[in-house]
Amino acid sequence: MDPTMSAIVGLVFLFTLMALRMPVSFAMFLAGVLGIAYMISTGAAIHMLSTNVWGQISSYSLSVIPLFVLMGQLAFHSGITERLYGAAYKWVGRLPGGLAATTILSSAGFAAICGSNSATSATMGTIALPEMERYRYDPSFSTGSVAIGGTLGVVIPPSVLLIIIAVQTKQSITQLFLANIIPGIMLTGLLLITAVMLCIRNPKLGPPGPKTPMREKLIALTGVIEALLLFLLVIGGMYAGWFTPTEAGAAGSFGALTIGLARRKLSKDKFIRALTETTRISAMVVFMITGAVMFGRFLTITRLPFELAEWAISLHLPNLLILMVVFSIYLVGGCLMDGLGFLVVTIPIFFPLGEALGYDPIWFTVMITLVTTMGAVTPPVGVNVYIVKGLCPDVPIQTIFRGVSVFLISYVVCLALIFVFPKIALYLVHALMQAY
Amino acid sequence: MVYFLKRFNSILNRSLAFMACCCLLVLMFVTVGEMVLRVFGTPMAGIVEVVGWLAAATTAFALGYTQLYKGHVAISLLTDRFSPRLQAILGVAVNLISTALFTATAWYIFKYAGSLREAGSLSETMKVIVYPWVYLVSLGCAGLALAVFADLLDSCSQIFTSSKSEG
Repeated sequence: MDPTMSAIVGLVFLFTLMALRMPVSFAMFLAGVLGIAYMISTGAAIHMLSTNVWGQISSYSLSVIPLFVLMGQLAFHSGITERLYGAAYKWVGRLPGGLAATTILSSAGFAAICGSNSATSATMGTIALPEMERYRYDPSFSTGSVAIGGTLGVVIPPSVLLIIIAVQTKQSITQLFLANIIPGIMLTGLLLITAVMLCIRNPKLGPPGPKTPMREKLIALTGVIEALLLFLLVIGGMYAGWFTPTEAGAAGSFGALTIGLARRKLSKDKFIRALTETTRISAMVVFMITGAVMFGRFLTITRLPFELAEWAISLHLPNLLILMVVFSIYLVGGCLMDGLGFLVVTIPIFFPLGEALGYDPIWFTVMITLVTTMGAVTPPVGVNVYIVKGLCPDVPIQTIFRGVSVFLISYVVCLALIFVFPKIALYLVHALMQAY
Repeated sequence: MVYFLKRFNSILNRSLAFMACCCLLVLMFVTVGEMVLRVFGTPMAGIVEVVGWLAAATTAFALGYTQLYKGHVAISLLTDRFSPRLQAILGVAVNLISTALFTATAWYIFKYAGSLREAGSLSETMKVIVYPWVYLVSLGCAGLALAVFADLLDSCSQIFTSSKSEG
């Protein structure tokens, strides 16, 4: 069998294992080991099994993951979220659909200190859904706003997804974090506009809240200070060159721990829960990357990613068309399986293609992140939607999917703007890195 | 027998998870501590190595615990449409393969640690032995293999349960 055919068989085998419910990381691990054994030798596969696992999980670059996850967990359990929500409500609560706008804005605030969309959805949903139910918000609209707000968790840095892409593609975590700041803010703005516009058109969806005097608004800003400080410490420290990403994660975790203890909000139970949750999430993510690296090595041996890139170029099709096909694959893949898993599997295949087509790797990463993130709220495997469903079991799942679907237009607009104006993603990286 | 194996699985992986939490805390404090020391002009040599080892222990020790809670991402889109019996049969196949894979992984990492010990291999910066950390990672993989094996036993018992209910 020629190498390209071996790679295709390997991919089919991998997707079959995943379809049969083998965890994504295990499937990549197995397909990678067997593929290397076939392509080189059993001895080489065994050697990879020991040295690759040890080499990956003990690598300094991956140590950033548990520390950033810990920061988000400690921030969540320290009650920072409630204060963010209170502050956001004072500022945008008076708008039509004010509570939904508050949810989106505070989700963006929480996303700035937490890198996970599921954690953001779960955290904001716990606070926002009872409030919106109390003010008789339309269930589809309220649940949809929580689920879509949660997606900001991976778009706005720090983001676990961006760290994974950076590690897999050997890009700078700092640059990817900087690149996603403006798109994240823009997306938040677009989601806010969508929520307000929907309620202007149909006021029954969500009534506006009471007016808040300016003095109260200013006082409420104190609720944002902690999150803002943590964000500035982490992102600012990395940009200024004070910290490596791993050190930024440690400093952020230490900061969140200090805030929790100083506020007396972080009980012993919550602290233990934050630690155990962190180790569980980190083990899942790091092992997935380890499996992806194993599978990626097999693909590299077969040269499939490079053959694919050369083939795509030889077609002489417009780059835009090829890019659209790649994005469509990510969109459909993100719908059918966990976005993170799909991304980890496909990055070794499509990233070289993006580079071969001449696209900026940072811009390509921002686009892929946004496209894959949409998968978290699209049927049938919309992780965020299932989390929201868990928080309000009485609302049918299709009602939540319907509610979230209207917000997807913001994503489409955001993607189109970044596509037409790549500077949206690249400006901050170029400006700050050059200035530094 | 099955009961004791499951109990052992639970105790072992929870103990390893406790150690993972300890390693995570040490990882955070060591990293922050080194940053403070650096400010005072006395950076800690070999911090990159220490952080890597602690991160490795944090991940490896939590692998089995994550499996106890089905925390490794899997896609059930297709299998959810199957009958409980077929799901259980597939569960047996998947868990059997996974058990074999991670038993082999744990074993080969164990052997790799042994080879590092025999060769007297030292870390690049701190010039200290590395193999104990490799043994710990091997232990973490063994914990995962055991957790998957416990799931295999569960899948087996589900086949019999679904046969009885269908009968």
